[in-house]
Amino acid sequence: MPSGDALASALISGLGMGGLFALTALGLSLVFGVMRLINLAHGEFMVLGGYVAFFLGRELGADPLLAAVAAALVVAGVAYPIQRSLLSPVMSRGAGAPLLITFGVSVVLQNLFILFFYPEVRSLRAGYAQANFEVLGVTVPWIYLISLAVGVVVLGVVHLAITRTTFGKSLRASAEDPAAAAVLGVNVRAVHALTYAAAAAAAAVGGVLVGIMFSFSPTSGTTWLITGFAVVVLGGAGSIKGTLIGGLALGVIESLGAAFVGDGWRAFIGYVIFLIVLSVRPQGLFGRKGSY
Amino acid sequence: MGEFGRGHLRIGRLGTQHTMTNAAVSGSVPRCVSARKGRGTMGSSRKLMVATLVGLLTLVVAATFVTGCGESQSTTTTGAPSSSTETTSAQSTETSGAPSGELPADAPELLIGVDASLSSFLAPFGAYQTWAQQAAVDDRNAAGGIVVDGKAHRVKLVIYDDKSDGNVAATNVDTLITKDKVVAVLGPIVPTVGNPAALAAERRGIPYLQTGNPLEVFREVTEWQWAFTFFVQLVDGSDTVFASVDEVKAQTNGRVALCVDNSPDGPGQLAGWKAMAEKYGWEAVEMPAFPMGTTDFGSLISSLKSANCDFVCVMADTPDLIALRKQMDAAGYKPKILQFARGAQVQQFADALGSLADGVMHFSYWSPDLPYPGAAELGKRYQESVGQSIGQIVGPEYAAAQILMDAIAKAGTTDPAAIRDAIAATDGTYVCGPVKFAEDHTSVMPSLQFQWQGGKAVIVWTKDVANGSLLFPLP
Repeated sequence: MPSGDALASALISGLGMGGLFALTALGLSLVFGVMRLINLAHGEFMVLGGYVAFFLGRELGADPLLAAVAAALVVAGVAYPIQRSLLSPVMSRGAGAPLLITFGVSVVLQNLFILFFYPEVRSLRAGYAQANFEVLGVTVPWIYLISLAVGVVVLGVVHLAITRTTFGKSLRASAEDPAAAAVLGVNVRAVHALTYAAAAAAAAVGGVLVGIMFSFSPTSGTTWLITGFAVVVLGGAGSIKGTLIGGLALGVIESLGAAFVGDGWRAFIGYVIFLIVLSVRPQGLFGRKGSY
Repeated sequence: MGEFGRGHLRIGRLGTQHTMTNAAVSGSVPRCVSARKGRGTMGSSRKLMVATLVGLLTLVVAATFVTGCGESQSTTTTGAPSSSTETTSAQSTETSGAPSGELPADAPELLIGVDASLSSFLAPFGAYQTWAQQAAVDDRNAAGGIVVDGKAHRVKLVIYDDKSDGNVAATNVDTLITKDKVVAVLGPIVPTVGNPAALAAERRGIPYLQTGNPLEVFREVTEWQWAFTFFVQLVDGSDTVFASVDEVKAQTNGRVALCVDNSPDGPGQLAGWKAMAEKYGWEAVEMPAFPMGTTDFGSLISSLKSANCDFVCVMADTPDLIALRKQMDAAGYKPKILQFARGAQVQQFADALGSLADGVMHFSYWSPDLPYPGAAELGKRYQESVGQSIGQIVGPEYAAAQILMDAIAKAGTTDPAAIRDAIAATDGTYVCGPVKFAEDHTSVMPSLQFQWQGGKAVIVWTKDVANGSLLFPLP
């Protein structure tokens, strides 16, 4: 049985990791909810965000968190034409073609990363990544709080954008009933492209946080793609609330599980709980029946 | 937060009554919308699509060529340096028997086979191997080649990619010997590919030389007749971990925590550390193995804190060790000695961590800073040629080609037995240090301990080659 301090530390790190999980899954959830597309290039958009922040830091001395804004813009700028030129024309040809295209984009981006940045492991340096403070004898790393805060803020901004803006209305209409939305004058194709770009931007911010907390390499996006899938399915595809709760739940479950039975069982426990939840609610915690 | 269509936030569809096909989602309807906007929109979209496709395909082709992935066979110099008369070759203290002066343009070729892992998971090692061996061959050719049967020959490498697969490695060696008629073979590193390749050469009775294969593993395979290797012994590697900090042990609490990931070499490493901890009088605390690719080490760090060990040894890959080091610092946990095996050897570890890498120790066996002939020049040359930090295997791989070419030159013939006997008689100091083969066809390279100090890997053990002092305790 772990001590109270160890459990408190596990809870804090679980919440921090959960915020990061939610942030990295947000883009997947957006794209799946609006376009019914599983974006296999999501992890590479994260890695690209990490590279943008890395080079901005190295060349201009930019703080990684500030560089995350630029990374989001750059990655969105890359994703937008990919959606318009490669995905949009084949969206009418079933789910297979766009899925394969995102796989192709993933492979191309990985090779480009290796070509231009070499297969080396990079990390983003920031003083606050190592800073900590103590509360009631428990050491709290700042980076976990930052991760949780960034995750909540980004998800909150997306929530506001979807509920309070004209684009949000178009997005919701396109997701609910594209045919009716188009008849009412919504440019569904443009909405899809902007959604794809926004999802990539969120992925880029997640990639920067991953770079600050851990490290990244040309091929590390796959790991985060898998985690993202788990969060999206657990929370319910297309639900911002589900993504946030799903991310936090997975982070806390894994972290507490590791505290009780060791790090070797971290993923095992997380995914067993994940499977149990799905067996009870196949649509996820906040998804609707029949959404799959 | 809630769901779309009900005044809440939900991006998916409302229910089955609204379920539509993918065609309806973004196919026919959006096309109608676009059509209303006129032909110009569709035309520009199509142009954009074609341009993007062409661009992406071009980049893929370029990437494939540059990375060399998928190359199954090559008689060219994959990843090799360009010859340069300005570069200083790494000379050995062996009498090479090589002629002086330039090779005539029509000099006959002498083929040496190379099996290397140029693709799949061992590809980084294969790139180092082929670069180093081609560099050694270029140097030899620039110095006049090798005289065989009274005539100077231009050495040429025939390189095959084993795709990091032992079966392919064995097939490659067969092909090199039977089809390409090479006079000897330079093998890949890592036992999983190196041993099958060596056995293939053994079956064919052709001289074979490799490095990067731990000697204990190599010795266990068979009684070698044609294959040779020079590298470190695993037991020496574990010994240096504790020998290098023996003089500061009295300033610690004498407890060491041992943690490995769940990779195949984890149990072996753990057993080696435990044996040496006992030998040097440390009280060992074994931690549960953690999965490869772990990102959150919170639980392990809590366990380490509870274990109250001043000395912590961890074996994991580079990304895992970077994450662990960051999280140790963020959690305010700082042992007095930190030994990171496997993943901390590469320069990118220090580059990623900056000052946090300072004080972290790691085992290694070669560096351009070692006081061996040509080591510094080779390091500088690699940096200028490739633009990346040098891998520790580059020196031994360069030496492997040197040793083999020296042996062929000494034999003065392409007779396999004569070349084998010349390799067995090797006794000199090369770019990787002294090489002298024992009767079991192995030569032991010294195991060393390095410590990151100011972004540079400083040799702190063994004392005879150390170029810096141990930084203690961990800053």
